[in-house]
Amino acid sequence: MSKPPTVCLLTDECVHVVSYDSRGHHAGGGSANQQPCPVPDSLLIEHKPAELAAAIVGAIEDSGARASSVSLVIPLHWCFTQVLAALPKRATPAMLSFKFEEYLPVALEDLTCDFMPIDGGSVLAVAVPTEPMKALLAALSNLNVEVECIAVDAITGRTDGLIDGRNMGTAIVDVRWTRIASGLQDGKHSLVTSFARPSKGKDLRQTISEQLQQRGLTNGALPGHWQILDLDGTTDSAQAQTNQTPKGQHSITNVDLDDNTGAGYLTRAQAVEAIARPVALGKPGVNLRMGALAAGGMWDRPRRLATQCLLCLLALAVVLTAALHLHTRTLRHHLDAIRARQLAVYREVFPNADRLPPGSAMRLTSQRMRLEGLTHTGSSPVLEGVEQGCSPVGLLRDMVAGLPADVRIMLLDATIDARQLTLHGHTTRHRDAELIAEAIGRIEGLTARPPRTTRLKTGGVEFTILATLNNRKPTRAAPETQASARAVSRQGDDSIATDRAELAPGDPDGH
Amino acid sequence: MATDPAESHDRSRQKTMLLGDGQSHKTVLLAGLLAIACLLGFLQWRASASTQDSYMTALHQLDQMQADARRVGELRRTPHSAAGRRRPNEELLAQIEQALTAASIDRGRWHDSIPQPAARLPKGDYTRHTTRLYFEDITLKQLAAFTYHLQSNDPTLHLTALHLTNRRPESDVYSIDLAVSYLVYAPQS
Repeated sequence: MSKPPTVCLLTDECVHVVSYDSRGHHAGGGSANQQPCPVPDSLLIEHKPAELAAAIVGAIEDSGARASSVSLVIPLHWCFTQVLAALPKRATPAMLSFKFEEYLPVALEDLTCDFMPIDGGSVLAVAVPTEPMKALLAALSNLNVEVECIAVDAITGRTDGLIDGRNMGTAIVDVRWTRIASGLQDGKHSLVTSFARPSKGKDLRQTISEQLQQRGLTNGALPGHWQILDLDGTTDSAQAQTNQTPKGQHSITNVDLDDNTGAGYLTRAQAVEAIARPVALGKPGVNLRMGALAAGGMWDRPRRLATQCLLCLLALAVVLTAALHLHTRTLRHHLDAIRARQLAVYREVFPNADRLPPGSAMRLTSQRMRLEGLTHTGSSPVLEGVEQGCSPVGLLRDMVAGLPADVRIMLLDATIDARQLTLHGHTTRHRDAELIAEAIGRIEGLTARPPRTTRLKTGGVEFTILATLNNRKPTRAAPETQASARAVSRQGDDSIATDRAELAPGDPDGH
Repeated sequence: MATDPAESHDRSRQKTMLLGDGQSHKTVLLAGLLAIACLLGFLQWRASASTQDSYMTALHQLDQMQADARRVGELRRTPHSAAGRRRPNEELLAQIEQALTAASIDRGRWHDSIPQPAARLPKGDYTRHTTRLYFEDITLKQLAAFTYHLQSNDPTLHLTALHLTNRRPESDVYSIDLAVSYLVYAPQS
């Protein structure tokens, strides 16, 4: 993977953005762009990733780099470092981590480690707190800046090589912190550390010497030559006044080290260049963009988008499921209330029911239809026409009531059914038979045919009258007979008389 | 073969760059959780739809039950004109005897009774059960009284046919063939 051409270097109070072209030259021929930046002393305290990311992105935008992928160089004091010596040949990262853990003040699981081999079988272990760094990377990613490489300034800007057979050390002097890397060439007496910069008025060289001595390093073990990377612009004049070293070089060997070995002094611009260029050239020394801090490769962005989509969908699904659950519960409450009302209604019809049986509505409907059937109030038109409209006794009553009072009849035979009425009898004259037929024809629902009459040898006329029933209104025979029944009594041998008073109303028996 | 720690670590780093880190696991975990949430949501939706259907059905049933219950209450106060079952012949004969007694007719006048085959009414839910009764020497007055008492005692009984024959012209009594029927409500399923 090619390293991004833009390097963001975090110093104590600034972020420097350096852009290179593909050949390693400054893009546009300019120098590093510097922007004030709230770089914390530690990632574990007072770390505000959003602000820091915004400052970094602002610096990138101000530099005109328009980079969406950068290399980030973090200060050494954000990291834990340890030179691991006397390692076996087959040492794996896991083994190195295990050994590194002995020197860590925090749990290894909270750190992301990288290891840089040092000649002589030693390894420089570098670790950075994972979560704060991940937060910074996420904040940068949210601002559409992807970090491809995380380097450490003191390690990146180290000066490898031997001068007069002795290692050359590198000291990065910043506003608040000083970072030192030495002994990385042969692995002996290696030192990578940082410490607070001495206060003004205190000799920098003396402070460095004290720090080195606190770590048990003797003069003989320390580099004879030092290169000072001055990231603080004010150091230049102070050092110049102190050392009076020509050509901008400051010897700090007089801080209790070997004398007259000389040291290189780089101004801020030179120091930034010295740190950024190796990173831009793909030689950062260590790259902490790995493990838990690793980029996701080409699928990282789609995966993050997918993760965000999944999160949104998951939240939506949870919300919908919860809403559906609440809706279902509400419906069930309403359903229980309705079933209670159904039971109450059901008990109006079936008072002994202790619970609502299955198909209760159908049972009620069945009960209603049954009662309608039993009371003829349902849909039974055939029944009304055939069964209730043709009471033969009622018809006989109507016929008797309609007979002329002065006509004498001897009824021999009468047949009344649902369809017709047939009368057979004797009367005195043909005309009387016709009067009888006319009277029958006046009865509602009856259509009488002309009578068939025969003169009897013994006197009188024999007649037969046929009438058909059509759409006679329903009547209840017995009660109406009670109201208007007329007794038919025979008067004499050859006559029938109607006696309307014989059966009094309310007493069909005439009592 | 001896392995350089830095070299093996580079391989690990390259692998991480290609395959990603725990983020992939997080994405897979999220996908799994989403699948579970979708499944639960689907099941919940089905339960909700089912409950909604039950609720609407119950609501409709309640309206129907209330209407039916009101109608049943009205119908229970209405006299029946059909029987709910076929009655035993003995029961009908007992009712006839009761009506004869009430009409002060000598039981000896009742000669015969012949049950007719049951017939289903056309296009109806009823079957008609008819019994033909034969009486001798019954006056029309007695006939009226008998039919009155018969139908007063049991409104479901109907007179469907009447045949009067005067066998003795010198008297006012008749031979009577009376068809008494009742309906049984027997809806066809």
